[in-house]
Amino acid sequence: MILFLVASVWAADLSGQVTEIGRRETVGDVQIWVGQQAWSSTPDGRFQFDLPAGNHRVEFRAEGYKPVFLDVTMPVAKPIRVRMEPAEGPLEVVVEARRDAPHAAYQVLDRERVERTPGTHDDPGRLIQALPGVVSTPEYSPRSGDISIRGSAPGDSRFFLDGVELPYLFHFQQYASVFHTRLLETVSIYPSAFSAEYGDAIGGIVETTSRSPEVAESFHGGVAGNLIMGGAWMQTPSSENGGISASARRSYADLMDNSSEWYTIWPTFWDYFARGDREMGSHRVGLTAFGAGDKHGRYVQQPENLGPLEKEANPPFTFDRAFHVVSARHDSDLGDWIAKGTLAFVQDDWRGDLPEASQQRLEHYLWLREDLNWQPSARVEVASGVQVKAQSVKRSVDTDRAWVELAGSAPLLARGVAVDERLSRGNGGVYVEPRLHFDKWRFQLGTRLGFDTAVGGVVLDPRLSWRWRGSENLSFRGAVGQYSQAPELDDLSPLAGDPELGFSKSLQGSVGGDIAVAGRLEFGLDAWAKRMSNVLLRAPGEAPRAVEGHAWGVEFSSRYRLRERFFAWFSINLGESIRDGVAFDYDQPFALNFVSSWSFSSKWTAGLRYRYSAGLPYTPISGGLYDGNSDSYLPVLEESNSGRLPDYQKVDARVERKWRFSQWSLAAYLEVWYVPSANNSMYVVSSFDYSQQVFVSGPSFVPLVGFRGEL
Amino acid sequence: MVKSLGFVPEASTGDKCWIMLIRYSFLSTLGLFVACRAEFDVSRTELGPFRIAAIGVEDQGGECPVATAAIWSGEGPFHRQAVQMNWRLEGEELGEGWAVSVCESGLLELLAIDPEGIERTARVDVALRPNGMRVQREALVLPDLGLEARRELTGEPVRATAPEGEAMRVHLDGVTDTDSVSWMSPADQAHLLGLQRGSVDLLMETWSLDEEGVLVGREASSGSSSHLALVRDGVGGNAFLWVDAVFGAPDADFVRHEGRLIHAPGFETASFLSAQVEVDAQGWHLNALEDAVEGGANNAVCANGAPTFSLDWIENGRCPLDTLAGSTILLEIW
Repeated sequence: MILFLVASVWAADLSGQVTEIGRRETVGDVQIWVGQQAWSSTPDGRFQFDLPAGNHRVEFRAEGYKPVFLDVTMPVAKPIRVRMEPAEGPLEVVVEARRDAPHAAYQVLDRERVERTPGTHDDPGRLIQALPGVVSTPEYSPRSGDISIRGSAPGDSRFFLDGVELPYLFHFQQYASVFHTRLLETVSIYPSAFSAEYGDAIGGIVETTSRSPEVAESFHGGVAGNLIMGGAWMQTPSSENGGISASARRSYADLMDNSSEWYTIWPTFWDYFARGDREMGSHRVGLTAFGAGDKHGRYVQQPENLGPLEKEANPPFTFDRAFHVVSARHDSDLGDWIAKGTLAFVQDDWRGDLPEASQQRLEHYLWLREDLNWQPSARVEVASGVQVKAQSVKRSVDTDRAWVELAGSAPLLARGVAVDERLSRGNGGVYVEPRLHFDKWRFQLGTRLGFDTAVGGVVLDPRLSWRWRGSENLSFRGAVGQYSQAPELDDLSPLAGDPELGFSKSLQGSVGGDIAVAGRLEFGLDAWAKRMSNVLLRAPGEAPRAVEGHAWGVEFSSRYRLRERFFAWFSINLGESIRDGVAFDYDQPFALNFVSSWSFSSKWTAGLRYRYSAGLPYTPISGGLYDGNSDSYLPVLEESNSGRLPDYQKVDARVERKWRFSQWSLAAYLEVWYVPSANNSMYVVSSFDYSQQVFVSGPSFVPLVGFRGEL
Repeated sequence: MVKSLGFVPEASTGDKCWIMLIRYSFLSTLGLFVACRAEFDVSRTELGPFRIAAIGVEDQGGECPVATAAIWSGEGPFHRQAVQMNWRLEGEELGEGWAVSVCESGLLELLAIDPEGIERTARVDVALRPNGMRVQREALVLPDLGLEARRELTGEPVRATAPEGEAMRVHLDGVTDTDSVSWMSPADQAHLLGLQRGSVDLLMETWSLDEEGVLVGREASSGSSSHLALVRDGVGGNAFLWVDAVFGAPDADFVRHEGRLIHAPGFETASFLSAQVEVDAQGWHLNALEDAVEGGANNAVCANGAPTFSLDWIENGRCPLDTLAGSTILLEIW
């Protein structure tokens, strides 16, 4: 389709600019043909050339765009604007495992695919659980937002946004991640046996990056919303060498209803992001600010089964948590030296209030990370860096009992120990990793020295990895190393924790290979294992305790593209995770994921996603012991985690329609999910006396509609 | 470090769950806040299957308190056969049955085994309540069942019964500000609505609820109901008694025995009643009621030589019907 605007002549000079239809983005390096004569536009799409008076057919061609044919009558009075429509381009790869990263295993999600994959609700965080090696949990179950990577606990992994560690990843009950999808560039995951670049984690690393603002050559923005939350975003150049981007979102369920039998304050959440970059010679510097907040109020006990007096005595609980981050970054390319650094200040304020009890946890930390990469020759490369976290936590807990019911929302109240204390520490590490390249081989010999002032000591983590690349379509890789992690600062509290806890350690190994057939069909196979010592087990109302454990797994993945319109992705995980001699909370012996997307045309895209996974373990209850002091029952537990929830399976379907107008475009989508009733169990609840247990099921069928409007 | 919010979705049961889902799913994703589960057939406030409903010690006039409990048989307000009661104190065997003295403080544990072999366990700290409890009754009309509306109304004191169509307000004297009170009822008794600590409203009515569980109709009837009240101080000082309510019967036809009401026309002024316990397929009845005096015959084996009998012993398991049938008991009338 051709849309164009022709103005009048200025002598015999034809000039103007080429932009993308529905957007203000310019299209550069356009080939312009009139008969056998050809000209090129500038990188910003401007053109100017002479034509004799009379009628001419002008052809505009640019890579990735449909050609435009323009009939003009010379002379034309004014510069013309030519608008080109993107061609139906190749679908972007959902998971690109074979990028050249210094890690034994590496998966990447990109923004476009996140937006088009069913079941994500426009949210990249929700797709992480579909990656090989990540435990799949039922939607909206108590563990739904947990990211358990290769048999680890969620707290064993680290989550970064533009190099800064995130206090938390999801808004209320995994409804959305704490950052806007439209400003997302990639989500990368290093599931285990990663390089010495990262430390203080015995699980995996999830690294999220935002889009560089300079990508936009002109103002570019939009609004987006679904039935969960809505917001706006923008990107614009601020000068020839810089740009800014910003976004803000808020949920609006509380605007439609504000309380219910269950909620005294309807769940409300918001987030914001702002980034400014400037390029100065071989340096790029940037400032970023982002944050998120969540608030809701609910009754401690479910009110529907309570009598009037009991309802009156049922305390309402208010959850209120928000974090803010300000960071400065630099990225310097000095020839043989490349340096990247981040300095950030983070505040995380977490409150939980009951009428006669409360918790307040105010955390501040200063975050510094500097990575240096020196490549004196094609064969030798040395990566090194330092990471420091200066952390302070002020904790104030006023309670006379353990509110175990609030373990997820207010862990300090659940612990039930009154404290008023300030904890602080310095934590971090330095690393050096020579990387040697020999023909088809690459070897990395990393060493990371970690420290933690609260634990009191240093820990040395040696790591070795290798890769053999036979061709562009065949490679094998492997790694082995030691990984250490200091306990959470709260765990070391002398009042409510255990100050004697030491570093958790994990010895990890991983081998894998990738093969591609005809550039369309890719296969990946990974096997990994971990042996853990001094890892922490946490139970509501109890101080953490250190135990031993091990985990292993095999991951098979396959990606397929057909005529660059259809994409399918399939993965199977097999594995085991044991801690303290029994199945760990996130032990999932089997998980299967299938994702596909089909672009029928430039207007329509449809997708289907299916997942099937083994249920997570739980501890069965054999009965109850009546406590006459409190007129309540105490559960009599069977062997820890000896029960297992039913297998979980879920189908997500999505269809999206896009409209292009002269100045803007609009996309609307509909998503539905279906979970068979037999596979819909989220967690187990017991009768008041623990004589009976039943599974609680989530909704089987849920629709969701959303839109995106963009300039 | 990511800390999951980890919020547990609220779970509704039965039809209400589906109503919530349908209502909210299409309005917004608020529907996702709702989860469903099957209903339990046991309830904290309804006495259903075999259960230890209360445990404690009581002063029976001896040197030491005696271990006691309220055992619900699962069949009805009686036990056809004895429940095996094994007591332990601080982990040490203490004795069996209903006459076990507890002369030391500590954690008192009970293993109760019903005739079918079902086991239930309970524990409590040994502590005596200093005060006994007495029951006061009022009759009143409750046009609005809301808590605030009911609190604004005061009833007319009655000795035993409430007229049909009115509510019976029960006060437990002896409940302190630091006590907690729990009420339990067998199935199909009067509706019990808490009012404040130690006070409840009882209504002998049939209620009609709409599909969302909202009350849309009330139909009063006559009859009687029984409820178990448990008062506890939180540190082991427990007391429990059965409380009867009668609706639509002449007040003078009933006499009061502890929290119970005995249909005994003509014995309104008696201080003691003698009666014979008759056992049948439905349970037990009192026959041959006679005016009696203190020290009269009280030959039920389970009384263990006590001068008077308590009807609560039948409900609580101390006096199984197979040992009680044909016994003559002496009841103190309050």
